[in-house]
Amino acid sequence: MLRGERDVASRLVLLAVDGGMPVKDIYLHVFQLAQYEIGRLWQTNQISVAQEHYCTAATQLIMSQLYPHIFSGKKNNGTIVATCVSGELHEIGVRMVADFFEMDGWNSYYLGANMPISGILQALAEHKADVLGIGTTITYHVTESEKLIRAVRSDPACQGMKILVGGYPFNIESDLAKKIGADGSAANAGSAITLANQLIGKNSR
Amino acid sequence: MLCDPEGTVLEVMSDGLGLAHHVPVGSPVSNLADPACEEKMRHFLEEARTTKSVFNWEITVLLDGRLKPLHFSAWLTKPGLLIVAADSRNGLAELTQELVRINNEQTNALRATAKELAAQTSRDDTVYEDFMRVNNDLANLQREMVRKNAALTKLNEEKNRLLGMAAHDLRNPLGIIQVYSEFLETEAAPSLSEEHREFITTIKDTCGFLLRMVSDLLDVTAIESGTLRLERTPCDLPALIAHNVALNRVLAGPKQIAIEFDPPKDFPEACLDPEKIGQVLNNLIGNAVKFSHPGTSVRVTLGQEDGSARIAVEDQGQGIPAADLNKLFKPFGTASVRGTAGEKSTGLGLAIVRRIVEGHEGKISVTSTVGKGSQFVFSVPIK
Repeated sequence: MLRGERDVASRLVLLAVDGGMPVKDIYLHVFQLAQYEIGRLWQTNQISVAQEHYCTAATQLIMSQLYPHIFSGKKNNGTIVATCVSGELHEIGVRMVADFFEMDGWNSYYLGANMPISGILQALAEHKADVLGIGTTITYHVTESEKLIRAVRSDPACQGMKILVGGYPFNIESDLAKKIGADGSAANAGSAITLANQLIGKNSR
Repeated sequence: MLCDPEGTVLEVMSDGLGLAHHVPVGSPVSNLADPACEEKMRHFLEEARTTKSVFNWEITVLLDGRLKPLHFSAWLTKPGLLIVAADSRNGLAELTQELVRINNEQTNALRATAKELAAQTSRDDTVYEDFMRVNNDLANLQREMVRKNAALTKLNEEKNRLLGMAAHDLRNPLGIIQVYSEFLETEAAPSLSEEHREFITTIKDTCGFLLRMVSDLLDVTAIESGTLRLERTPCDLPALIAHNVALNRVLAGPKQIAIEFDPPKDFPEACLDPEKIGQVLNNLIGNAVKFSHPGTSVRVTLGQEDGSARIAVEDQGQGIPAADLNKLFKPFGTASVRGTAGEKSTGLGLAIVRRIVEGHEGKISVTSTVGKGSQFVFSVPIK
């Protein structure tokens, strides 16, 4: 991807999946690790913002080619609606978590980062969601998350809704999630699913 | 800015971006950076101390209420660490080159120039952000589309399953009604009035129609759910067509419609499912007879074209309006024309015909002129 050869990258991934590699493994050991490495390279100034954006966009495109594998399974768990707060550019992390929920048998709906609060509330009611997942990558956007949580808590149609948050600000301050009114936070997809299952009283597959 | 080697601000020399309030004298220069970039800022200062100069590090800063990367450079001088941040690469490069060449006194004279350079912006960053947003939106749309596709596929499978079950369960009771009505027609007829005999005939005919519809429905659901199994064997196609023509002549006779077929000699054996192709022929020839007037003829021809067998069924019937042509091959897509002897259509026959032909990797088409007649042509590969 750093050489701009996203077609080659795509072929590698699709070949692996055709060869039987589980999609979950591709997510954990290829996409997620690639994102961490891209972040590290940017932190040490070895790549520019443009390259960082290109790699993220290329990764998203390759991930979307795996969607038919993710959405064909049986659904026997809860329903999660996931979103990023407005202004967030890096939606890939939260979308990956939503995809993991889908692979775990949940019905997952991912809304874009620029969805107004009214749209999110409507989606929660329409899909009869059990859990709302909110992703935030930068501290500056935590207030937006708080605004959204307040709106959900004061909507009578969202009574009993469980709210999970995730992202860098919640990893560095462990009680920030509770402070802004969420039911909990998780540092990765696996623990997000465990926590969500606990909150709605179900077992993971 | 001039800082000590640890990054504490000693002097803000020029502030064209309005950031000085973040870094008053005595505060750490890392206050400028967004918390997510503190680590990067630390690496930057470390690199500046060890290598004595660093160029063009992108570090995100809160500027005008938005986060954006600024281009930082630094170099170690006698008074301390000279740090420059610009919002464009070009401005930074030019300023850096200038400052490297001159001494501290002349730096003051360049303050005005630095201010001017910092104001020049290339809007690279906005373009990247816009591009990321579009890409995010596309990825989200794609995800939603695939989910809906998966749901639709499941619904379609369920529909086929239910349809198949319903049709199956209908067949037996209908069969019983038909058998008993046939029995009454033959055995009890002498003891019944004319009117009651007509009732029984109507029951029998209607039942027969329903059974045909149920049979067609089962065929369609089998085909739709992908369970159409073709048993291909080498066939004598001229003989198969001739046999089908003979069967249809039985029904065409009372309507005084002639069916013509001149079997070609030495036609190669074709690898087809004879029962299914027979079904296709029966449907096309039967339709031709159904929609033709007495005294007309139906012509069936067989030829070869590019390794395929080409079969045409042409009638001199009522023709099909142009508006109906594109729905003919769809389930329940009946045309507005009616059978010339009052015959009814289930609306499934041509849909089944199309599936069978396409199952053989063949093609089917129709041309028609209202008042003159229609021609159905299908071709199937011989091998």
